[in-house]
Amino acid sequence: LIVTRSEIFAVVKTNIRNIVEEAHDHEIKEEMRMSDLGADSLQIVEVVSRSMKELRLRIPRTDLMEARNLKELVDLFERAQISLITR
Amino acid sequence: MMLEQKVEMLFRQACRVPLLPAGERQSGPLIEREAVEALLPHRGMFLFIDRITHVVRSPAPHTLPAGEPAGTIVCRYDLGRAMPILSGHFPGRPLWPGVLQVEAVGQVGFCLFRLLNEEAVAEKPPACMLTDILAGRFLRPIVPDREVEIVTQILRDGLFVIVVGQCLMHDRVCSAAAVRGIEKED
Repeated sequence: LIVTRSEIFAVVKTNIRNIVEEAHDHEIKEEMRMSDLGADSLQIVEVVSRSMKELRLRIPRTDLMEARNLKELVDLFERAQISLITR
Repeated sequence: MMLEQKVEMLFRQACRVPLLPAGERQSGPLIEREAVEALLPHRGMFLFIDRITHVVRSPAPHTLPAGEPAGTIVCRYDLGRAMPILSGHFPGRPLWPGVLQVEAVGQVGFCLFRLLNEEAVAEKPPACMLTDILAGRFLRPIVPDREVEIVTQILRDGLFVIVVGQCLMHDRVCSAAAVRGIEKED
């Protein structure tokens, strides 16, 4: 499964909208944090977990915790995907 | 088949019959309570495992597709330890509370998760957090006349782990539960 950066962001956005009720009508931008969109800590884990499953990625939780906003999360997913392809 | 369907199928099976035959439930290497404490943060009266009697690890549990059980575990718990709780639930007619049966299934499943995880040798057991009770059914009362057997299987769900398990007395299913949880960062 190879997807572009914008497709990765689309997966994350869809999961945010499906899981975080308050985010339904919000425009979601890369510089945002999920907490800005009303997500609680468990919803954040759920969004990340579902996105990783859909993108077939496995990333250590210690790395995931370093992502401070959606851009950094998408960066992380993109890097993980590249390392999977080049491995 | 979707993960939710697989969990539901396994839960229904856990409601009907023991997930492992009686002969297989005591065929593994014994892990005693002291060693269990290295796997779980629970202590004292709130640790519902006295010993592990059987562990089956699926081949390559970390690469299994979602919905495939990563392993099976059997634990035993002496209900005599729960007497302070049972004296009030209920006076003169002690029953092991259903909510504690669900808790026990969660503890046993998390124990298996730790045993399957290479990092389980860490000095301090991690905190674990129950996030969802997906299903539960209480079929027969559990009275404190002897040990209860708790059999669980775990399935990976991304960052979460799903535990489907059952409490057995005299080889009969008394309850079944499906819960979801996550290892909690400090």
